[in-house]
Amino acid sequence: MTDRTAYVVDLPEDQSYSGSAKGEPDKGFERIWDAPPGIRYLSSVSHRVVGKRFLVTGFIFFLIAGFLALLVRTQLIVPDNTFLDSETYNQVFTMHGTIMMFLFAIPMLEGFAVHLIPLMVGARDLVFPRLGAFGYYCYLFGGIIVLSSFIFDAAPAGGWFMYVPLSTSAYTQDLSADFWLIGITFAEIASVTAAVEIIAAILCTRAPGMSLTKMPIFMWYLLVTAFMIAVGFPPLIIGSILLEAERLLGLPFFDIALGGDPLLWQHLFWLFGHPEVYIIFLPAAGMVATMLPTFVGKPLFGYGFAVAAVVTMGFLSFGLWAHHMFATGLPVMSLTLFSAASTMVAIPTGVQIFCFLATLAQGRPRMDVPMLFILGFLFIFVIGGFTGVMIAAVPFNLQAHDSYFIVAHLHYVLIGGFIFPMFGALYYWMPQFTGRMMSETIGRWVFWLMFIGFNIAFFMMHLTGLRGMPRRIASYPEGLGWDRLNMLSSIGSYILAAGVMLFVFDFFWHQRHGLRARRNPWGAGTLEWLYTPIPPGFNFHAIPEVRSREPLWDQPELLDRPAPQVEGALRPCTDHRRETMGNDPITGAPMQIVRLPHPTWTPLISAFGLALGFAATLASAYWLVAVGFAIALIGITAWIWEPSDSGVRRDSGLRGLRLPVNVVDPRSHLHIAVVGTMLISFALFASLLFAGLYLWNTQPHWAETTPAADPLMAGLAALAALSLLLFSWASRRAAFGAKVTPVIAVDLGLAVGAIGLGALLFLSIQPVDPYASAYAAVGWALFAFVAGYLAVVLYWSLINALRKAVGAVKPGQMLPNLLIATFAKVVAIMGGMTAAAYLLAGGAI
Amino acid sequence: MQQDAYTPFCGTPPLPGELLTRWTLDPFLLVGLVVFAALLWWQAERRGQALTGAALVAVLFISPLCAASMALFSARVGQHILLTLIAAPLIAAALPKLRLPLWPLALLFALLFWGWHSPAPYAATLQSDLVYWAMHLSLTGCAIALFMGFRGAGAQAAVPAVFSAAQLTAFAVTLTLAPTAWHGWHELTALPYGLSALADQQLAGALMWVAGGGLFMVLVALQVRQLLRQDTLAQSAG
Repeated sequence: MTDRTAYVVDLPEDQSYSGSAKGEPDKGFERIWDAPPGIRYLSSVSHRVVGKRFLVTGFIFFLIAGFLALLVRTQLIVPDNTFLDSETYNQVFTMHGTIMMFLFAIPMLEGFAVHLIPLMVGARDLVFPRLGAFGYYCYLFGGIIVLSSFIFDAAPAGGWFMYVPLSTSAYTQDLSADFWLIGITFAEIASVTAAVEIIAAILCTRAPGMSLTKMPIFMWYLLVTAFMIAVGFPPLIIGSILLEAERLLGLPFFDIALGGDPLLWQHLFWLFGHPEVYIIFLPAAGMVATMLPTFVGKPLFGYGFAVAAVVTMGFLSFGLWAHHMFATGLPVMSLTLFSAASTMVAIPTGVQIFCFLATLAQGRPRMDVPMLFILGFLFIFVIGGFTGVMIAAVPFNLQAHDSYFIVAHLHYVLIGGFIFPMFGALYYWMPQFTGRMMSETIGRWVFWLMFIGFNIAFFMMHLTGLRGMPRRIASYPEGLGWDRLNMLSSIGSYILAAGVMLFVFDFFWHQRHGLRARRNPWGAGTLEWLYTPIPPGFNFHAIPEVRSREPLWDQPELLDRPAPQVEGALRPCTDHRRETMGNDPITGAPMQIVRLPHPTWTPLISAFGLALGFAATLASAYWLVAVGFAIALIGITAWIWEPSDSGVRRDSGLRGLRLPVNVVDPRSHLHIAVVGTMLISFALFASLLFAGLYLWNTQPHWAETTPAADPLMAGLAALAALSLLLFSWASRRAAFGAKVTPVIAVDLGLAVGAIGLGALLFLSIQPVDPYASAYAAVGWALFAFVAGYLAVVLYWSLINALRKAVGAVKPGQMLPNLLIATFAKVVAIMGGMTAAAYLLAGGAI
Repeated sequence: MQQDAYTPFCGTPPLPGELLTRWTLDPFLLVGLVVFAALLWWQAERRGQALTGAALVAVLFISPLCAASMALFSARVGQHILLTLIAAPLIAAALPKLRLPLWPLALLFALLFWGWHSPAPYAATLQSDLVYWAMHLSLTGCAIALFMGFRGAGAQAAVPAVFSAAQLTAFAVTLTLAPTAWHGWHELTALPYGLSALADQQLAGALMWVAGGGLFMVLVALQVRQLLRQDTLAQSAG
């Protein structure tokens, strides 16, 4: 860790430029945090509003995808059924998988994360409320685009993994694949923004005293999940962009005739797809690890082991994608080892399961409804794990491949590992959302219907699969021994659906008739239950100091008085702004006061502009694409053009500790967010590099015959990258300085460096024809990618310069220079690596 | 091999039958290992652990694994996995805690690992003792420094660790999926073991992918446990 005080710009404690200019001085503390009424509710950026939106939208998508599943089961209930024709059937099962994975599971966990993180770590709002709101709208619009394909009778029909060449324009001539690629990529913006948010919120806005080891275990699970999203989603995003570029522009990335490789899609897809399973499972396991101690009345057994296991799983899951590709002709020598590796996952998973079991064994659990769902999770997920170990064995895998055995396995893992914990979590945290308790009686019915229905439906599929029934067939002839099993599976699915519908009924019923929740209704130990549900809009009048992992159990001063009177930080609200505490990411020591935005329309406008742009791409209305992206740019500019809050100190209300507001420091929440963003960006870039490396490796003939990039220009581009690196270093230095106006030169230097690097990269790749080979097309894709980032550096540095020129920046307010320094540094590295790749590919090095 | 009078450091490629008799008892090697162990004894905070690491290094070079690596690329890669992912972290954990520049080390390690296993440098290690030792000293030294860096950086090691895991995996994937054998040397030497050079290379890649990945995962788990323990201790002390 760098020296603690080195980076804090020491400024006189003057009031001359306070962020209160943006405050709402006519309102008291409580009114400042109220959600705006009427139509302006849509401009709310509060984490609880956004979190609830995610949960409700995600659940609606769950019901839609569940309905599609019932259509599938109804089609298969008897042999030779004509309920759906095969084309519709393909659409239905593709959309079922797609919606469940992308539009239900991930957004649902984002909803829980967005809603619960601030309450559990002791913050008044999520650290980037506008980003959360923006992510939600991207998800909503992306989901609508995907769903609207049904209206145009162009629903994707190529399976949830969109394998090429089936999904290329030669074999999918309508727009269905485009709906999938564009809609899902758009919706994924929500996932990656959520990842940045979760990382920064957990690392930077914890209550005083909450060190890493005092965090609720759920925060560890979410932190690891967020990192996994940051690294795991980029391969799919890049894959989707490449495939869409092939469909739209005819670039031959996956075209075997021009040196492309269909298996490249599978590698990119499963490089995402395998971690995706853990991205879905881990937060659910984290919710179990949070609920379980409440019902047992004892802390989680083996906190440290569980954390180590979760982090390990995060790493391990990225090495395992090949086991989804056993049947694609991987080298025989490697199969045994992949098989061994696949069984290795059982170790960290087993550590967690044993932590859960040991916690259970410590006491006599209270059998409330959430506890039932936890037990259901353990039972179902463990069976799914066992079949997982079975299909990790290559010979068995080749037998079971593409059969209903796999369908059974993946549903045991996903429904056991996600749906059951999620329903438990909904029952558990519902008082936080509605202020009322859901019915214990109906809840038991819901659980047993779902549990029994699920097992009837999916246990049978193991047998159907072993009897040879392949996946994704619309009908089957009579007398193959599948008839009765399919009938049972379908009946089971109806029972499962009845359980879900009963939950929906219970939800509406409890909103009217449910008992009002009292304070800490389950007797939990974590901070979100400090206030009587629903907690007030600001979460905490004063943010309490935390000395324990289960503060409500171990700190009597928290529950022995009404919650608003609990002592803590930031009780005074001197500037009439939304504020929360910011801490050192590692030690948790209070470090700054974080100013949070008030309701604003900019996220909605920006997301709407993007949605317009994406939808117009689908409709091939290119002028509208330009309009859409222009709107988005205007929205984002309005978003970032706001007075700086940095440069003042305020009383934290914590034993007289005065803290800087929005401190200029590498440990600041904004800088952590830029680091997270660049992690995602570099993962995107690395996915492209991987594509190039893969084609160079597997299609050596094409790598040799593709003309080389201009080596002179590439060499100069490397030098330009170096100069951009120097300017970003200068920008970082300048951020901590006291002089403002001279820094304009640094900003302009960044702008010029970006233009120069972009131009030289263009000149070096210019002699290469992107349509000549897949290899050449990847070279151009690298250029386009880096150019996009250089455009951001250009725009951002010019805005920084302009703000200084018009006097909007005062000494001590140059945080943007620190942020752009890190951003430009990574962009320069990516540009330099692109230049090096051109030189290497051309044989110049 | 007529025109080439040079015998590689670990000897000529052995046949399967003679493999177990092929111990490398070169006096320079033995002296070097003793000096290495003495240096560690002098500097280490946990001497037992450091010597365990040194003993593993000794085994990797004295035992028939050294000779096997002349015949099989997969043996060489196996040797390097044990060297960089078991011996190096063991030794690094025994030495005093230092803050080292983590990113440069991670990049250097990536360059060394990719570089030394690519065709031309690899062939050079079979043509000269000097190059052979340049490879092993640079790889081992850099790996020890890298793991010291991870240890010193604490939680901030996360992103460089992700990078290192990713680049090692990318190399393993490239090796596993390459359609042709990279190293002409092993065209004939692998055959007596019932492996084509390509199959040998695929085995090497898969070993790196899986065994390397597995070891890295264990190291991550250990570092996390260590961090949490330190954090808990710091909390109860302060």
